[in-house]
Amino acid sequence: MTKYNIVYWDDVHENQELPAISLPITMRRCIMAASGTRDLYPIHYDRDFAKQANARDIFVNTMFMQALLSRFMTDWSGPRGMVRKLGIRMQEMNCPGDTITVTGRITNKYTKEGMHLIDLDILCQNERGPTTIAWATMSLPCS
Amino acid sequence: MATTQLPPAVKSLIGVESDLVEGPDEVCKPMIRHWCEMVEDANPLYTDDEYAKDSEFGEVISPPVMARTWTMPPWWSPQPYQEDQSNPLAQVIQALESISQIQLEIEEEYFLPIRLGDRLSCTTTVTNVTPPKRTRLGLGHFVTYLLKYRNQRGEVVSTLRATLLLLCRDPDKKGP
Repeated sequence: MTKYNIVYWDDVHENQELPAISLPITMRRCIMAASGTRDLYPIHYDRDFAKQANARDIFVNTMFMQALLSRFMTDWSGPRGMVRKLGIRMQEMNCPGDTITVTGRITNKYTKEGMHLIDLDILCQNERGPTTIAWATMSLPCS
Repeated sequence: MATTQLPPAVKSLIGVESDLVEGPDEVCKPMIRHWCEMVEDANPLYTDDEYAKDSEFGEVISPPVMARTWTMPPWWSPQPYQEDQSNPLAQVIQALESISQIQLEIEEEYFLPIRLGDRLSCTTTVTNVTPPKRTRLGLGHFVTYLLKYRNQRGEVVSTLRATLLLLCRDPDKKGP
């Protein structure tokens, strides 16, 4: 038997909220994000460059936000939940000193092409307000 | 016609798929671990061999949302890196003399697992370019494009659709 949590499609319902997660953004995490996603555009690690480009500070990139959203979903579902679709709209930056909190809920539950699916609406916020709006589809195991 | 105000050079790039550009690295455990580390993702399907061995995949796999990372160009290489001259998005940016680009929205779909040892490649297609519009951020064109990620067997593992705002100099405004 597995030591990991498994959420079954049968047991979830529309409007169900997922447990929130939070992650502080530090200078070190910005560097890990640039290197971990292979996106070394200087606006993500060079403060002088970022300020010249009218950014508040360096900020984590889109691929980092996708990674955080993916983690948010599978932290809840366990490893048998698979992300099938992920859309995101970037509204504000997440910079060192900010803490990102991710919240979301199930908006639809259905089957398609043999898969047991759910749609989700997700929001990332920091201390200044919403930063990223996301929508996603996941498949879950069926008991 | 929605495209009447576009230069012919831009119109002719819409719908054209670029050459296939290969990512520099094979899908491997160290890069997956670095990716997990940055967001503290403990999903055992990505890093726990013991768990993954009994999963439907039989071994650890790459996070599906890592597709774009596997196809990022190298920042240095012993051979001079050949930029993809066929990339229609780069050509549209150049043809419209865009001064900066802002990523507004992206949507990815994931079809097949990305497995250890896979080598991903990517093509780019510009799917639409609007005539210039006045936005809160200045005069610009909304460009939509499609990236297709394929593995070494030519199978499409995932796609990315994105909307980009290409900001341009406003001829009606004076000053810098």
